Amino acid sequence: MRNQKETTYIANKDELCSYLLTLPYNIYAVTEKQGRYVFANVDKISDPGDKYTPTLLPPKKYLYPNKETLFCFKKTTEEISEIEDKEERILFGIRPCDINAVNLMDRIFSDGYKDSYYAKRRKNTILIGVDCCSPCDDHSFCYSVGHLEVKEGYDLLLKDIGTAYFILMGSERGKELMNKFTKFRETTPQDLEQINEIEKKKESLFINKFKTNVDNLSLVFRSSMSSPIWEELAKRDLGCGACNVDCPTCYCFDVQDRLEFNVEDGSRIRNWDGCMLRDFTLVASGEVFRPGKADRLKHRFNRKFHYLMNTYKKSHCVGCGRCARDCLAGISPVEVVNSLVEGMKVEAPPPLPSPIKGEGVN
Amino acid sequence: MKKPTVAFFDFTCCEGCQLEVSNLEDKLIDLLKLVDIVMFREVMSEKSDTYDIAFVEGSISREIDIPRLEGIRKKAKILVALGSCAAIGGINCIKNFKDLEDVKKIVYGKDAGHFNTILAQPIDAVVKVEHYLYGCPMIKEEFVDLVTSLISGKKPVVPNYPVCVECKIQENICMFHKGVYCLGPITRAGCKAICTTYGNSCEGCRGLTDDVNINSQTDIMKEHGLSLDEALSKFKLYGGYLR
Repeated sequence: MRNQKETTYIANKDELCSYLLTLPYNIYAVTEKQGRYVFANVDKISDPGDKYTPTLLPPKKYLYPNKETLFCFKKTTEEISEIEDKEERILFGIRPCDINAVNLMDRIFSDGYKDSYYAKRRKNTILIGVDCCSPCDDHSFCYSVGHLEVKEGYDLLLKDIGTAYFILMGSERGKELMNKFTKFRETTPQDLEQINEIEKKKESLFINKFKTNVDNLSLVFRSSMSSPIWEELAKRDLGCGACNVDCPTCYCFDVQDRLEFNVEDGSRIRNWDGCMLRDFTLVASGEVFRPGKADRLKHRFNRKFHYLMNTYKKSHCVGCGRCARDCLAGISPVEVVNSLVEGMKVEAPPPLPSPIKGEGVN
Repeated sequence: MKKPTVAFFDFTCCEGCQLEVSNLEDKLIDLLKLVDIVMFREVMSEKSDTYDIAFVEGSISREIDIPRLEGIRKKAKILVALGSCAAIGGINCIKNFKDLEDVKKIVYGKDAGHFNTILAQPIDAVVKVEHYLYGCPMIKEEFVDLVTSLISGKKPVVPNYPVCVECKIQENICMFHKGVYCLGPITRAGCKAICTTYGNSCEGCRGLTDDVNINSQTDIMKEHGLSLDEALSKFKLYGGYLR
């Protein structure tokens, strides 16, 4: 339930979308691509509403793009020219799971070493979220990992109420956006009643798919380091890395220098990397320190549900289900968590031998 | 500093990878500032018996190929396998699953007796190879990266992860989800998933990564309606050379 004191607004969908398009920002919104969705640059916003399923790539592609040129250099003079992203953009239609993922990434890229490339892009990006009223498909499990509700990170959060959006403001920047927009009104008690109705319905639609509470996950994973499940999963695992690429909270990268044909001008490029790929743990000596697929699977799952969860007290899997949706081997976090939980049960003692007939049993 | 000399050679192949080098067009002038090309049959008439870097295209499929390749190896300081045929054996190895006498008859008919053939093999089955440019044809950007790396003493970048990584980055719908088989999950990336991006499935032209799960790939192909024989014939198109 929302804080009733918060000022909330109602705006006509078309009017709000048209207004956003007049602003001096590049607009990226959810667009259909062969039956799935992607974030793409648009000149017309038409959010899919409750037909939405998570986009093929999460919005991290704008905040932390693959193949990002960090700087250019001259080999002999060692002259360096920084590449700075100057694009001002609006991401429209980002769902709560992905906003929560951005919140996690914000912490990852600012805790300790502050990543200026990420920070710059994040600062230049306005997030306009659209809340989910029902589960997007069978693969998602945001509620199970505590990421259905989003409390921060967005500039505006919209709730679809038919022809209009109910609007929550999450930042000063969001407020400014609304101040310049004139065609909205404050919510009435009737509006709030309608919203509460939606929220109430939502509670019954989302269920915990895990056989344990999210708070127990780090304990479950910590106790499952030698579980046979990892080897079992490794038999199916293709090691294709799709789950890493698709994941809104996977942030590992590789850095490479590229030279032009004149062997003088070059650039330093940061590429996405992934812990499910063999060469991720290839070190200079030629050794691979997580050689088996089971080691890598265990590592990836522990990153999401154990190591980072211990540090930040939040599941680093937001339950968008992209990895499960795209895994050809059918490896899903829900299945993995539940298998581990079941595997932890103390085994029941073997059943007593059945009584032999005619031995005086009542 | 004296520019390194470069020569191109071909064995059993279509010479398409050398064509890709000549297709570098706008970059060729820069290339010539870096190296001296002393032999390149496809683009020039001059020949030379000395060279530092040899680019070898094609697979080895005749007895007489072997001493010729060994000769190139002796002269070259660096030997590069150029394209699928040289690097992994490639499509020439389809014949390795048939009787070689039958193969000759299929190709040369009544003249089959005039020709000799051996099992097709990649060049590293015969000689030591320092670098590999995978693909059918090889990727121009990788050629540029290899040459600039060799000149500047840097390690060239050759992906050892599957095409799926690049295909997901392109935000393609998975071929399997479209009901089509694909060798992307086991095939070495570097092609930017060009085939799947343009609607065709991956045929595995860049060979396997060092970390494949063939059993799982076969199971998945079977789940998607291919029989084991059909799945194996897909593997054999480019991956017929068994190490």
